[in-house]
Amino acid sequence: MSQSFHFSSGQRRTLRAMTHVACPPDVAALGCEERIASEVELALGSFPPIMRFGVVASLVIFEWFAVVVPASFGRRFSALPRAGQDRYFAACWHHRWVLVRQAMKGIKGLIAMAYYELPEVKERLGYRPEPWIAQVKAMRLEKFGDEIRKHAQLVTAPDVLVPATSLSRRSNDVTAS
Amino acid sequence: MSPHPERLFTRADWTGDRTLDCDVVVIGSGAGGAVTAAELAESGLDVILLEEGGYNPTETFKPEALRAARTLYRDGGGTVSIGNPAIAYQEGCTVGGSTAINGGMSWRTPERILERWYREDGLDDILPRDMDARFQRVEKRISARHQDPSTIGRDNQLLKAGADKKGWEVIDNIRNQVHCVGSNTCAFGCPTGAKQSTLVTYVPRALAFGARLYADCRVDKLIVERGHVRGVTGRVKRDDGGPSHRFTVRARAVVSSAGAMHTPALLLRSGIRSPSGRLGHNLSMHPNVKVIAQFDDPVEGWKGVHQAYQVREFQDEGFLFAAVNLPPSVLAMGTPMYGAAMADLLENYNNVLTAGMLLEDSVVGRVRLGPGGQPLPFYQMSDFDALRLVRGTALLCDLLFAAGARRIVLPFEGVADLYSPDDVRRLFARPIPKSAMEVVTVHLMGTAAMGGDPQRHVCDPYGKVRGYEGLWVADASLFPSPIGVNPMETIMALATRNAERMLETGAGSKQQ
Ligand SMILES: Cc1cc2nc3c(=O)[nH]c(=O)nc-3n(C[C@H](O)[C@H](O)[C@H](O)COP(=O)(O)OP(=O)(O)OC[C@H]3O[C@@H](n4cnc5c(N)ncnc54)[C@H](O)[C@@H]3O)c2cc1C
Ligand code: SF4
Repeated sequence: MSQSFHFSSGQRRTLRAMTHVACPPDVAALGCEERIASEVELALGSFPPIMRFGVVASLVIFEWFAVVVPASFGRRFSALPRAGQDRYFAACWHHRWVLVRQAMKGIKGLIAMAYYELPEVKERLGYRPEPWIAQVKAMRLEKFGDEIRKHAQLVTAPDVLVPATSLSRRSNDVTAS
Repeated sequence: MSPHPERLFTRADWTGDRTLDCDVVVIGSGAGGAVTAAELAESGLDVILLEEGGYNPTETFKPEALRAARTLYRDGGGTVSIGNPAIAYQEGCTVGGSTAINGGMSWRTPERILERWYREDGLDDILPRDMDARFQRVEKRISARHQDPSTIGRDNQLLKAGADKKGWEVIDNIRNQVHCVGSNTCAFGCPTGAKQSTLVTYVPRALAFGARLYADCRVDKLIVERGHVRGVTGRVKRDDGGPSHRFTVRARAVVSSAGAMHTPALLLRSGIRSPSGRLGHNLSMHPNVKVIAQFDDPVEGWKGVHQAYQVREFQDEGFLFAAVNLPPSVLAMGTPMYGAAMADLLENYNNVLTAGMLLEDSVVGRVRLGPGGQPLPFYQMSDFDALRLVRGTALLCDLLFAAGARRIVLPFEGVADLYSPDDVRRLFARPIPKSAMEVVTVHLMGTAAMGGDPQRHVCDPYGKVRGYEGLWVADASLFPSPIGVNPMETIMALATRNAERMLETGAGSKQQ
């Protein structure tokens, strides 16, 4: 269940730029940055508010901290040339502060997850679960239909846990603690 | 789509605030709650089952990780414990609870654990001979059995081959399934209906015997009047997760089966104070790490059953190994790499085997109340357990190289990939900081432990909360200690045992 959550245009720009570094190199050719950003948005909507806040704050800090890095010449992350973005991302990824590394891992995790959920990417990897499921599901029903029905009946067949006779002997020796 | 079961209500059925009455209200429809509700309903009690998650029947399950996280998992799966390392944990939030998204491993509690609980925790009626009939009863309902051999995929065959080569004990898993056909998407809900989670077993059973189930209903508080718990209050959840109508359920007995995170949180935010002072303490997690092994030949782990085997050779040391196939998206999310390096690994997705190591932990954490009355878990892994985690990982890597792996990606940030058994020794060359470990868990236990000692145990030996009348716990919170194997069947058997006691003591009945 998701709360509706939307990135600001600035946050969305940072995330789109991050996909170019965090995802496999074909991300630009696929033109899927917007779709990834929307999936990340949806995922964040279902996160606990504190986590959502943490991710968004990390994005903002990541974008603007680049300004004070000498090699950036005062530019934000998303305004850096691609090689500069790579260097800045790598520096944060290997940062000596655990918290920074964790934030980077968290954001990269969300982006990577969204990228690898894209149907065209699954297809390229040869990961095609839907037809496989359809095939084995049909086979199951055809081959084991009787047994499946038998178990479904057993699920609701009477088999009382404590027979009424023992309930009427309810003892007072059972101590409430 | 199958018809909406009778007596199952969702948010669409609410038009305003309501007060309901019953004998027993059970909070949570997972392993503990559904069993309790079904057993009590069949014995003639008027039971209401309240579930925060939605009703997602088999037909809605799809192999889409992000969608499943949003609809079936608590907080979209974005839950993490505080400590070093931070441990990502997952719980179900849907009708069926975590059983709807779990791997289906169905193991009895190890005998050594039951004996320890008898000896050290003052639990009677818990020894293997006492529990046998309860395990059998559960196993019949959930159809716990071995897998059809034809469904065992290449990833599991490789795991077994590696264990056999090392001469290590490997056993066939027992899973709750009726002719599981190996679609390996158990964690997104079983799309074939083969897995016998409570969604398709104990929940329909409870409904068949007259229980009412209200999905999309989050319990906020218990109603406590002078030490007597008389019901619950809460809100119906809107589609976007926000609160809508208010409800009150008045009952003679309340059973909290909200899981080991949410039971202590619910009790604490309702003002319940355990005389033991240990409500929320004693949190065990079975920390878990995963390694990714690359093979020359295709593995296609997604074609075949999830975890057909378990390597039990090191169970005395608290290690279990299994093949745990993950879809590319989840694999990529957890790998300690990005960009081209990640692409390089994932382009070979069909040639990788993902294997997991579960650790029986030796320390405990604590669940406190966080902002908004939500659980805030603190768990600090001990140095000893961190060392064991490395040792277990090294053993697992040995097994995978024996199976023919040519590269292994580790769950330890900054530690280079392994390319041969000799490389495995490198793991011990210098300490691996805990903060570099990618640790996850799906087994949460122990936060309202039951036992015979009022100083140590929140609940009495049958799950009744000490110091209060009318309040019981029936979920993983009850475990006095971690159990070293998958916990679902233990939770179900304990719920069965404790439901017997509830019935025998007249809990919830009018003659109480
Ligand atoms: C991905 C995954 C894989 C797993 N694999 C296995 C496995 O193979 N074998 C095994 O034995 N175990 C496995 N487990 C663990 C096992 O499923 C759990 O230990 C078990 O289901 C816990 O049972 P429970 O009754 O304590 O809680 P749950 O089954 O989690 O049920 C708790 C329910 O309470 C509801 N709830 C919580 N708070 C409230 C509230 N305030 N109001 C209303 N409802 C509420 C929740 O939404 C949830 O549905 C796995 C777990 C996960 C998440
Ligand atoms: S492997 Fe597939 S068919 Fe078997 S229980 Fe899991 S999801 Fe269901």
